[in-house]
Amino acid sequence: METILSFAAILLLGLLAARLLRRVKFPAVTAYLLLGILIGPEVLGLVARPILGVTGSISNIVLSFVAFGLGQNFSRENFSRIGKSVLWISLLEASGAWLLVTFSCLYLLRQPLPVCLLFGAIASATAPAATVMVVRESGAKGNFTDTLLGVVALDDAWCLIIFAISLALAKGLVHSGGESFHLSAAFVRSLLEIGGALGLGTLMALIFTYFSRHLRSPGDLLIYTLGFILLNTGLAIYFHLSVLLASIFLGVVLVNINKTSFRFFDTLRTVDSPLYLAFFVLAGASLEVHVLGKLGLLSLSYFIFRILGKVGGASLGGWISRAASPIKKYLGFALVPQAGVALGVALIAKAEFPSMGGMIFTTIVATTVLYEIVGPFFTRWALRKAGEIGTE
Amino acid sequence: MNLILAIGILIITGFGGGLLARKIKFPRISGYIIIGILLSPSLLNIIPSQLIRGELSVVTDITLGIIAYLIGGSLSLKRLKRLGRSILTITSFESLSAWLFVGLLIAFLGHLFVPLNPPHASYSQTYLPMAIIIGAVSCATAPAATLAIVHEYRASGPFTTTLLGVVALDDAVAILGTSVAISLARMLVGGGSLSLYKMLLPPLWEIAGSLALGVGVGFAIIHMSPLAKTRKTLLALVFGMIMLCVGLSRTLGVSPLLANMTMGFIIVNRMEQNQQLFGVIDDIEDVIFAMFFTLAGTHFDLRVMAAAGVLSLLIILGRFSGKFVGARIGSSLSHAPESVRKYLGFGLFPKAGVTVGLILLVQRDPAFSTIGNLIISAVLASVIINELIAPPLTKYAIFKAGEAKVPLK
Repeated sequence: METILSFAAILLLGLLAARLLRRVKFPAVTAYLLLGILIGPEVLGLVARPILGVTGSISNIVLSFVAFGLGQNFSRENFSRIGKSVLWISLLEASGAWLLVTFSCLYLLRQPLPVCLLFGAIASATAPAATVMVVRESGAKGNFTDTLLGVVALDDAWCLIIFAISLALAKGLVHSGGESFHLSAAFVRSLLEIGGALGLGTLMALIFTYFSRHLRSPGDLLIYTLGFILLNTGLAIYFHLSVLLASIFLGVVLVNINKTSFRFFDTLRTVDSPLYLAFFVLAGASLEVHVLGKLGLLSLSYFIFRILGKVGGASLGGWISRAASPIKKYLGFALVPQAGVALGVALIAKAEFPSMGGMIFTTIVATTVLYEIVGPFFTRWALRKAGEIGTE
Repeated sequence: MNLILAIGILIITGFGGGLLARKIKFPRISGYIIIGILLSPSLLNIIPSQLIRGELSVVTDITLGIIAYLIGGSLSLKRLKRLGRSILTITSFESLSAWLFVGLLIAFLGHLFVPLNPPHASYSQTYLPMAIIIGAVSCATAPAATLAIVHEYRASGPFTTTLLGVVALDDAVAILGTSVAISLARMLVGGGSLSLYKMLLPPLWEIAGSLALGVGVGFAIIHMSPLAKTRKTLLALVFGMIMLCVGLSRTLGVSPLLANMTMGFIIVNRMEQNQQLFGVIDDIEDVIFAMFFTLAGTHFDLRVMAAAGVLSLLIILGRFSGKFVGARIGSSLSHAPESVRKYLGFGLFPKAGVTVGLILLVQRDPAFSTIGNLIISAVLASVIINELIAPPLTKYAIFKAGEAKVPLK
């Protein structure tokens, strides 16, 4: 089908699906994903393959919007209020999932150590877009929600470091020798990537603020904000930096140096919904559902132990940082969704280890289908248990 | 250069150009277009041409659909009631006299400036068909530039309504005229017979099909809009419908512009609470204009300008005088308000997308192998020069007519 016609179908059917599935209390994200699977090339084939080609650009744009919005949560006021919890919880839930998945894979399933390390590292990733979408749809507000959004943002940085270390360890184990050298180099490289994203985001935020005094109308505000986010994302891609982190840092720096920065965040929220919709439907369309048939013991144990790791780690982090009781109890469950970031790192693993990478990738693809569909329910459940969803 | 970086650069630099243009009291789109020309492969070569012709062209197609939808939406019957006759009369005169003036200029002066001496080809096989075709595509006016300027200065009133109405209608005239011209020209070049049936059926089908499609999608959106309760879902719905209309037009081979104009027209006239359906687009139209016109500027091509040379200036001269004289005659005959009589001609100079779309029909036609390339270069070059000259004139007309709501700072 023609490109523009496919987009029309995605938007219109997406609206319809969300409306229908709301009757059975499905989150909109899940409705979009299911619709995507239905009209995708594996089932009805309504979405042409060429469209999936621009999916990369659309998902980068949407992820950068999401990440930019997440940056707003790191204002100085917010940070002094929940900063400590966010740091501890994100660090511990990420490494909790990493360790638990690695050990369960190693001792329960008797897989080789390099494979287990990579699985563990991928397990640390979460899905910021899905989480943000559920929060927005449910209109959740409060300490729990703020902490959750902070954790989801910071999580990406930890995931980057953890994956770099695991990859280096796995490489060292496979090729044997020179392992320690690889490890420190990998650590430095991941720090460089984070530093690069920080540098880019900061620089763009400074330029952004400097020229923002020329803005007059609401229309100006939108062009300007949108243009800068895209410029920032485009540059991040160009320099091979993390799109997510660069956009988060743009938001973080902006919210802290510009007193009226809320205007920029708000203006974006008025227009981004069609993009979100298209993003999730396309994500669904590009899921390889047939892989679900290959769901084995490995995927199952990955699925379960990642959740256990997240929940345990988040509780521990909440306990150390003396967070409120709902945070200790439920925050980990809100972190269940997993999507693009995991697929991205799994793809790197596949490229680095052609022999065993294929198996890792297939497993992650299968569990991603599960997590994407089930995850939003977990997140919404956690938000409701924490009492932060108003009257629905 | 990746797609996202290209879009980011287009938006931000275009926006800067727009601010500068506003400083020197020019319409913002002039700034967008000039920045686009600077970024084009021919000059600074910042935006690569494969992106301009590839992914970014989807942006142009969708934007044109949105703009046409807004124009249709500005033509409510209540406003048109007293102006309808004027609009029809003016459209007939300004489009036909543009055709006539451009055609005559090229027919009489073309051979002086452009050497075209293919073997075994007479004057009536080269310059005459060229004059007829270029004249016909000169009927069209660019809805995008007109609407962008009308919105920038928040213009409204009888002059603005007449202007938008004429712009909307003369695209239909241009489609019809170009088809007739191509048939005539083909007869001249090939010496075949002229079939009225072949000459009129395809364009009439194109126009009728576009109208029918627009009506259908328009009523569909009216029935679906209660489903979209919030502003956000409404935005997705309107966007989806516009894309549906554009996509179906292309599949069916009818005009996306006319179809979307009809859709907007149906909604504004057949639905009680229609402000929201246009309001959601107003929120984002500035972004769309910035991207669209900066992108339009990047199509600038030095080689085309060199190849076309004086011929493109003849086109502009003929079209300007034709539109101007035709609008005068049409508005006097139909007793239009004084502001329309005096200034409407100045507002009809923009031309772009429709013209380019129509002229590409010539490229695909094997009958015009000798004159095709020259026609296309000349028209494309005239479009680019025109893009620079026309917006300030449209602004001038709107201010002179006293319908701008934004005071000059």
